[in-house]
Amino acid sequence: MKRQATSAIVGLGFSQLSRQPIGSARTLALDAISAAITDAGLALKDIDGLLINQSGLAPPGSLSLRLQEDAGLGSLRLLSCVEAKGASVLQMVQQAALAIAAGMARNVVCVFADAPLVAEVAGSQSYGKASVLTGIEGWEAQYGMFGPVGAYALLARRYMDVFGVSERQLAGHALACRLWAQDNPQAFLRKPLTLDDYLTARKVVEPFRVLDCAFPINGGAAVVVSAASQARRQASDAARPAVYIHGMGQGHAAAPMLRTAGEDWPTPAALAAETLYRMAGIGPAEVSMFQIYDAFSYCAIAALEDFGLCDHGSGAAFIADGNTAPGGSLPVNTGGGQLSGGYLQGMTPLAEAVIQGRGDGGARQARNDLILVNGSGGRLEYHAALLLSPHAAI
Amino acid sequence: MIPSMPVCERDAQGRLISAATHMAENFQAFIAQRALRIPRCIKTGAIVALGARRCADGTPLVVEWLPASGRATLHSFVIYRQEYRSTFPVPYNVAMVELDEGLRLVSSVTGIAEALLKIGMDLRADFDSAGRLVFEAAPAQAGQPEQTQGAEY
Repeated sequence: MKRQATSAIVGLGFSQLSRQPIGSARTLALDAISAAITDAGLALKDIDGLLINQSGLAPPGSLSLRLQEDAGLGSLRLLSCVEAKGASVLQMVQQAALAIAAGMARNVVCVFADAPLVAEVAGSQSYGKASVLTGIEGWEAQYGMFGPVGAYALLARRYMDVFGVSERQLAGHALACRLWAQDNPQAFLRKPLTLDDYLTARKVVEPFRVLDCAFPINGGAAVVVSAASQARRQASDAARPAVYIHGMGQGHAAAPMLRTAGEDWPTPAALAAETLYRMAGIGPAEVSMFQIYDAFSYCAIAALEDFGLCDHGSGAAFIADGNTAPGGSLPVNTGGGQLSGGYLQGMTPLAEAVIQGRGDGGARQARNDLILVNGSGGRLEYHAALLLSPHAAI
Repeated sequence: MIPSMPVCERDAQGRLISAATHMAENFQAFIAQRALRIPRCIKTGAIVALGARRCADGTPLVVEWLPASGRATLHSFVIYRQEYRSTFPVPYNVAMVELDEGLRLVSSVTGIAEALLKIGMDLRADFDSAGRLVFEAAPAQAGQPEQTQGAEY
């Protein structure tokens, strides 16, 4: 029996995206909000909800509730800042969908914007703060463990050792994403990338090379979430088809810092997956494509396994064998992802999911019946996921 | 600001205990005295993570500070090859070590060529000249006397 979605994404908008300083997160957010509302075929007065996410690494207050006034929005029935690291963007969409289903609001804008790249500062330095793993503030900094990259590289290194993964196999995700990016005019890195290019690229925090890390950009993006009934009514007037929300899930757990807590896999994404598949009434075998939050190449390996798309321990081989590349059985990050497309945190995979869901993928369009999207953050403690489809009922 | 003295008291059984609200400062204060001590919940007897603040039953955590054996294995490691701060010239390793007692923490392995770092290798805790807790490759020969673990508190 088919299940009807109760909400849909009806608008998608971007600010200018650039490697150069082009304005504050606040101004970029406004541009994205405006673009998304226009794209939805709506007017300012139709918007009754605004959810806001800034980068967890940006200074507090980079985006604030002030955006309501800045954007010229009148009274709102839903307004908040959402913070859950890399899971934030999908959590905004989930909260919008829940509010709509409850009858609290009808058209909710969800926006993310960030301006990490400033003049004279290397991209890596914008993400250079030490993480807290041991549980004591300042502990990691004394060992020079700067940036989220260190924590993820630790995960990847042990995974490679335990499952016998070579650096050639690790290269698979970066290579596959670059192939997809070549057909995405909006992607930042589109030059063909060979295995030799990867192997000779500089290592940043071994086992990661610079090509295993997201490509920072300045910019913002927003989506508009509306009631599915409204999306179907507006279908003939709307500029682009709606993309319906059929499944949602989250999973969170502290990183295991005791032997008794086990290994770092599966991540809590497995919990998000369980909720999502149950809600949508499907299993992993039915997923058409997966838009993965891949701040680091290892994230894609973990996500494929934790969402049941390949066997535990075989994620790297699955990717290296070409299954996620153009022509493969499970397209992943069809816009190039965060490695080649550009790092707009949770908006990178979500925006591509909407583009594909609308059939706007152009040369990179793939089968889009059931689109899985995830977000992850911290050092893979925090996860959210959505199942989207161009079909109102699945 | 690391205090010079841990905020602890001896209980009736002579155990060195403190509320977990002092977890971070106490761990650091012991380290500053070249002692590696690890927290154990006095109620359950379980070693707890350094970020823990509640016992498994949800009540406020009170821990006993046990002297660690100093034995550990290398759980994972990375090599920083891109410089983030001039005070940390590359290359250098950052390690996740797993103490014999089960606690995992971030540190660095010293006195060994990076090519010889191997996940699962046996390590021994030590303190470097800057007073940081670091780990060295464990002595390979059987019967070799263990190094004592800095000052006994």
